Amino acid sequence: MTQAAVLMLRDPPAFTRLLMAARSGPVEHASSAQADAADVHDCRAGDQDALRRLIERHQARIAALMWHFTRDREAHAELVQDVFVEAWRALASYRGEAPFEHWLARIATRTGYRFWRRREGERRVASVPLEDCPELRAPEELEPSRAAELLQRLLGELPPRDRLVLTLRYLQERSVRETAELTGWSPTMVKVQAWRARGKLLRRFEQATREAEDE
Amino acid sequence: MSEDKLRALMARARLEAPPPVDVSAAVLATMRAHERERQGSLAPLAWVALASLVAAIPAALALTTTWELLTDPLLGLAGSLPWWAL
Repeated sequence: MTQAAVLMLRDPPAFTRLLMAARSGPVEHASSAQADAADVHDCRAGDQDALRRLIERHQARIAALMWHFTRDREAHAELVQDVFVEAWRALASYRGEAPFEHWLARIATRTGYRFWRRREGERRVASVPLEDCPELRAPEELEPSRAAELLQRLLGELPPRDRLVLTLRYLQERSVRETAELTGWSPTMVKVQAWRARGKLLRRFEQATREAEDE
Repeated sequence: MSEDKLRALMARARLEAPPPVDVSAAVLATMRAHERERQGSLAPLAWVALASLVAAIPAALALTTTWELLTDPLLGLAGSLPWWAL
């Protein structure tokens, strides 16, 4: 059985996403970029329908990014909203040098990072011991939502900078260059930060799984 | 070993579908509220500007008239004449 067939049987929503991604080719991307440029122009002139079109075109992607910053549905919806409100306020500064999608992803990254920093105090109080999660021993058998929840709890024990670089590099699978663009850090800084953060995450993961095994 | 497990955990987590959200109405409402607030804060300034303009017009007219009178070449000639000749 091919990997796609396995994915279709084990996780139909993920298979549908894969199919949709495969269908959206370069032609669709180009037309989307043109539509973005036209809507940004109209939006600057005060056209609210153009803003609505921009939101509707990009909100699913932004929602997926912001879900990595919080799993609380209410906070998540607020974060997605904050990204678009900030984008609307900063629209005058968008020069069109990078695709609108990338510009929006930078705003989303900044918004998510700020959110983490604001919640830094609450994080330590709310954290639940991962040692009580024996299913970490066999992560490949976990449901995607449970895996994501556990991973976010693991990441939640790291400082926001480490969490950010790990989320971008390994969860969103961004390249060093993309991560540097999104964070505003230099590529060297991204590499160093990712290497250190990955070490911390691995040590914490080993500790949690070892203690889960001991139980 | 742990690294493989961590990689597997990340791979499983990536398959999760985020909850659907529709924020267009909320963003547009925020935008309209912001616009109203901005217009509301500009309105008193507009009244001050209008009042200043109204006060400035007669002052400018008076100044122009006085300036024209002072720079009139006939004024020097008239000043040298005796009072009974005027």
